[in-house]
Amino acid sequence: MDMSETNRNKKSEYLKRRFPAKEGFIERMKMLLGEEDAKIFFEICYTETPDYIRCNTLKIQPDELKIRLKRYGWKIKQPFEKFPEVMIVNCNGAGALGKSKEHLLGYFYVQEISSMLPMLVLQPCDGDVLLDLCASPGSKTTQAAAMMGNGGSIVANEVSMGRLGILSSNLERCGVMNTVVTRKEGVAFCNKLLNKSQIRFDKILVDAPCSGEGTLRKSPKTFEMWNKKMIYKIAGLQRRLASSALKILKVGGEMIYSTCTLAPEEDEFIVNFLKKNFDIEILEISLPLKFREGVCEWDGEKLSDDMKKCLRLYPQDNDSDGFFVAKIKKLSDKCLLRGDA
Amino acid sequence: MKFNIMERSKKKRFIEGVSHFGIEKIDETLVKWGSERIRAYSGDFSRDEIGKLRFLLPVEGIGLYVGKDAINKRTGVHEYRLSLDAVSVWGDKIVKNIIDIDEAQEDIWFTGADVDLTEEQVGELNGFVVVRSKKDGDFIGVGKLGLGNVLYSFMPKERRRKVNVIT
Repeated sequence: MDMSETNRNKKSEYLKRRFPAKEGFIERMKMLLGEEDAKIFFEICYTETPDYIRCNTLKIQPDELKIRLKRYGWKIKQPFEKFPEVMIVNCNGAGALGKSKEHLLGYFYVQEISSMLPMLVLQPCDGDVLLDLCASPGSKTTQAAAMMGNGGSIVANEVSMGRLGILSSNLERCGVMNTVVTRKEGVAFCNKLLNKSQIRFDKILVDAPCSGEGTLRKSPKTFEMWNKKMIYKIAGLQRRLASSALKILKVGGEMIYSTCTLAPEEDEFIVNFLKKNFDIEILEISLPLKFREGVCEWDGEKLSDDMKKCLRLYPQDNDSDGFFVAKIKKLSDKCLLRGDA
Repeated sequence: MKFNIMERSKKKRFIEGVSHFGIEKIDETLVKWGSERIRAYSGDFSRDEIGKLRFLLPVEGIGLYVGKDAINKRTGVHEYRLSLDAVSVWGDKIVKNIIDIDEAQEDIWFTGADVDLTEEQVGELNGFVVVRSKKDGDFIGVGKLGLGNVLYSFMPKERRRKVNVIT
């Protein structure tokens, strides 16, 4: 066992003592994964994720970036043949990635693989009109702009003034030119456009605020903050955000609903709610990653079988964070809801 | 924030203002943001759609901040300045008024400090220059040449390197 592994083990043991998982959370994960897999889940949650970066193809091509980063003595892996812009970097020293010249110049974005999934699934392209409803810090907006080659149009919305600064600064660093940044609460944003304009979107990302069960490796404090009440409370907001967004999606357009949590109330339950109230189709997702299908039954409640088409990413499957993605196609403007859900 | 899509004549004036770097054409729509800033927007939204968005929602940004069109308060001279990201995205258009700096100077540059240049580096250049890395050929910002061969830095605070760690 080398020194760095010993240190990692020590850190992991410390985190386990400092941020123990609450009983209710453990029970829920056992219900989702089974006893054995839940044990593996909680083991990996106290370890760090590998350093993923995404090459910003608006400024540099992956092959050139790879050569440059290797000069620092860093080990670079491109785990997906289909997505050469996705790289795992093994670098020495904390903060080295962020301080490198290539980062300062916006040649890459430090972004966990799970966070890249929504755009890899949505595949925005030049000519699309895209809405990123909860856009800060801008990882997915900058990814979309790169995929669109700065063409088409993006509206990046963020409600929080503080987070807006981070969003703007990341958009600048990455050389994003096709984006309009707005500051409005998500539901109000959608209602304004719905009622007072003809602007509709080809593609929408609702990366909703969530309880963050998938980000425990990055932020072990979430163990401390976790509680069941918060899940139910936040699910209400997610339902309102997702259904409002669906109303300003063009017929035939596609929407991604994603969260960085594994709680079915915030994931499949929201998609199931949309399925019940809108004329939509849940689309199959295909990605070169190990992922699991969505849950169709939870806590005694049966959901549509279509929820199987949703993507669940568990940290232990790809050594990543946890994530949830659903891809939705709008078939018509039919809506059974009154008000904001 | 008050902003206006620039008319053709105003866009032409900005292009003329930065033409000493070799820039002859800008494809993007230029937007005057506040009283001095210029932003470049490459998206497909029409003038009307942008107007509608602005009417309905608080627009906090559009496109990329590419430069300033302002009167220097000290000298009273009208100046056109490019931003760090403008020289990065329009790099292929920039062919004149370029200063190449070596690795040691580059380390200083990225901290946001002013850089001492040699007479050979400065040559006949004066005023605003685009700064290029001798090592990689990257455009790494915009500076202003001052007396005593000093290159004054315009590196934005949030893009400065706090400690030099990469060697």
